[in-house]
Amino acid sequence: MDIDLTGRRALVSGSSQGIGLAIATELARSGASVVVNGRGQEKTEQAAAEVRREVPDAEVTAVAADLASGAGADELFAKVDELDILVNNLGIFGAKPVLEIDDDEWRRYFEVNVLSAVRLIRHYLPTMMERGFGRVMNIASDSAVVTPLEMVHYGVTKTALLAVTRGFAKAAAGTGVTVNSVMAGPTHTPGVEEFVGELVGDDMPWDEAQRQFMKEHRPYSLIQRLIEPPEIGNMVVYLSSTQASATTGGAIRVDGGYIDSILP
Amino acid sequence: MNLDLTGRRALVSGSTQGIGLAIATELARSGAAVVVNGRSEERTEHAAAAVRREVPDAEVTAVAADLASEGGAGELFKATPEVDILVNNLGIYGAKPVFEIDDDEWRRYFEVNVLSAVRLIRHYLPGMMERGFGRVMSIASEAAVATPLHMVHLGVTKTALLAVTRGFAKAAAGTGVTVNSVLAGPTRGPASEELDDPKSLTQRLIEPAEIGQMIVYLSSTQAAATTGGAIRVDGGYIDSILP
Repeated sequence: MDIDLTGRRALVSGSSQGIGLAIATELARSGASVVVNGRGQEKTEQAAAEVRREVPDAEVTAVAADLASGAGADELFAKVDELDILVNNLGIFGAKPVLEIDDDEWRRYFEVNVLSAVRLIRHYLPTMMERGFGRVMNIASDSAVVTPLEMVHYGVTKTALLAVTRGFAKAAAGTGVTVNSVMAGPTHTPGVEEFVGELVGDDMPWDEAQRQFMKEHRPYSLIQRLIEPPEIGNMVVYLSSTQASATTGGAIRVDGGYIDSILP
Repeated sequence: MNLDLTGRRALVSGSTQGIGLAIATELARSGAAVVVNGRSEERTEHAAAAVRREVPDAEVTAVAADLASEGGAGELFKATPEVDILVNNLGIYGAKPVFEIDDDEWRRYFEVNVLSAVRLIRHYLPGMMERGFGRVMSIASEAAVATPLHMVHLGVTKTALLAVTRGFAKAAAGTGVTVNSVLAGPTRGPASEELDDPKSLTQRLIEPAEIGQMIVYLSSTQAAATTGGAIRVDGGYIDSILP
């Protein structure tokens, strides 16, 4: 089965590195023209160059804008007025004891992890509906289902994203547009190797180190390794295709089986 | 992205028509060698011919066996000792008031819709685990999540399949084998009229091939990080954020 996204215009928010960059790369590899986005001009240009290095004939545009704010979103809208594929990947996380998270911190997480996605969907969804094709995907995580004690605020925003997804999927009913979230699990992102090294020691080859890390610290993972960012990109490519037309309003796992529940 | 299943051996239980036949066809279209299965020799051969008509260079084998029974599964295992991709599609359904479903009917639904899948997984999974690659998919439905009043027995068996999936996914942890279920929604059948149900977000019947396409994706190497889950091809029918 060949998945061809030629002619589709895609945007991945927060795609200057890690999962977002991998998603942008995989979309480009399947033929979509891709807007990469980050806050800084330089990092965003670098990300675009990286996609081009990986996919030499890719059509990539760098749009630097802080999508955590309404003003930043307006800058994006001025440059990119229509899309066929929207991937809300922008998000922040960080450990903090739940009793110490004050109102402003809660608001900040809501603004960046939820409202930034809402804003982009609200802007781009209507024209997708008019044209009769569109794909919206929100990158959630296992934390949407299993609220992590060390970052409750993060978990709450990811849970909220599942409802954002379902709600906008209903608004787009019958139009040929699908809206889904993708639940990522523990992923091999920048910085994670250092984190793993701190926990299991840095004297082992990476493959062995990550397996020990997963065994000791992420025992629920069924693949018993970290997820590679392109694996999340693969699912985003599939969900972006015409072939995935009957999957909407759902939360789709690329979690390595990490969420120990029959649902989802 | 090219999903190439060349060299993979696939089996779709209950694949003489409808969703099962569409899954077999899509797997063949992506290069897998496919075993189609039904109870009767003639209908199974017909189904194999239908796949070949759709995919002229397909490698298709017809194995007639009633997989609802242990004896039938034994015949299959002799004809097809190993597979890389197992799709448990066999299932029965039918409307009946829940107070009128007697013990034997409950047992029959369990045998056909649950135990037939368990038996095939138990047989084929160990070989997949040894070889370091395998894909098991069980076709569930929205009834697994929203128990339908007019066929509670069906709903119960589909719910059970989600746990079968999760359980065997755990047994295969770390081996390169994934085990998932696919939640199908209202799908076009031979005699179905148009869908008029506000719960469907696609507001149309699902085409059987759309379920086949998700099976192809989940069967690919690209889907290696999705396991132990219930994946929707339900047209958004299940009104819940999970799954």
